[in-house]
Amino acid sequence: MSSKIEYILTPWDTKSLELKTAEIKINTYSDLDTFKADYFAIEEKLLEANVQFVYTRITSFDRSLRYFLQKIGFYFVETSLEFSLNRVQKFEKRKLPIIEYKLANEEDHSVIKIIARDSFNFGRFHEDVNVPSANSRLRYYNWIDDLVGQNAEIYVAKVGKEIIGFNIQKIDFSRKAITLVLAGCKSGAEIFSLSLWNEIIYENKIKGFNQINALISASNIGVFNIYNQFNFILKNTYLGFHKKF
Amino acid sequence: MKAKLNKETIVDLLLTILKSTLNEIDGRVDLTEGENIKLFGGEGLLDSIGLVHYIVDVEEKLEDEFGVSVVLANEKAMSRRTSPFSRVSYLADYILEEIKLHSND
Repeated sequence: MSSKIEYILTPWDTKSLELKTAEIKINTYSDLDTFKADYFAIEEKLLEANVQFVYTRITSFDRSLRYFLQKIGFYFVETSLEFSLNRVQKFEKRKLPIIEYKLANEEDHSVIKIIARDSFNFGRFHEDVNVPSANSRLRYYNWIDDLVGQNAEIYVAKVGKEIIGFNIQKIDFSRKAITLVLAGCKSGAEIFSLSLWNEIIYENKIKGFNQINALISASNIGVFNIYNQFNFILKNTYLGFHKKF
Repeated sequence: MKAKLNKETIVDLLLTILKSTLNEIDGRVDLTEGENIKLFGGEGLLDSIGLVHYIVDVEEKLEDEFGVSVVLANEKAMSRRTSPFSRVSYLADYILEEIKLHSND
C-alpha cells in the first residue's frame, strides 16, 4: 500500500500573499490510511519549513479524501475543469474577427502582466474569500514573471498596434501536446476572444501538435463557452482546497 | 455597390440577421424595439460569443448583398467610449461611418 504525495514551495504565491506558501501534490494513493500517514509526515515538514498557507487539488469524485481534507482544516476554494482537444491536425481555422497572433517580445511582458492583473477574475485566489482581491490580482501579475522564467511560450494577440490578449503555453514534446497555462483577452476586447483561441489552435496545428489541454475555473463561464465552441472535451473535474496553518 | 445603403436599410439588415442569430441560440425573438435593441452588455441579447458570430455574419451580408467590405471588429470600435456593438442603432451608425471612411480612401 502506498501513496505518492509531495510538496513544492510556491515562491510566486508567497510574493503575492506575503505568507510562506506551498502546494501539496497528490499524485496517487491506494488506501486512505496510508495516505493520511503520508500526509501528516508532509505537514510536519511544511511546519518545520515555516509554511503558513498550502493548496491542494483533488479529483471531484474522491469523497473520502474530500472529507479527510475538510476534517483537518482545509477549506474548499475552487472547482477546476480540465479540457482537451484531440486531433488538432484536423482543425479548420474559422472566419472570425482578425487579430495578429505572434510570439511576444520582452517589452510585451509588462502589458501582459497588466492584462492578467486587471482583466482576469477567476482562479483559486480570486475565489478564496479569505484572500483579498488586491493579493489575487498581484498573484497573476507576479505569475507572468515566473512563467517567463520557466521557458513557457508566450504569444500576444494584437489589434492594430494594441495588445488585446495573450496566451502562455507549455509544450510536452514527447506527447506532441500543448498545455495552455494562461490565456485571455483584456476587458473591453472580449469580442476577440474566439479569434484568440482560433489562432492558438491553428498555430499549434501548424507546429505539428495534436493535442491541446487546459485547466480552467468552473466559474469562468465565458472561457468555458469558448472551449465548447471549439469542441474541446471535458476530461476531469477537480476541487481545490486551501489551508492556513 | 449593389443596392442603396442608408441607415434604414442597415437597421433592417441588422434586425434580420439578429432574428436568425437569436433563433439559432434559443428561439427567443422579440425585435419590437427595433433599432433601440440592446445587443451586448447589460441587458443585451447576445453574449460575447453570440456577438462575434453576429458581427461576422453582418460583415458577410454587407459584402454579399451590398458589395461593401468592412471590418467592424477593429481598434477603433474597441477604443470608443460607447461601444458600437451595444445597440442596433449604434452599430448601424458605425457601419455607415466605416463605409463612408473607406469610400473616401
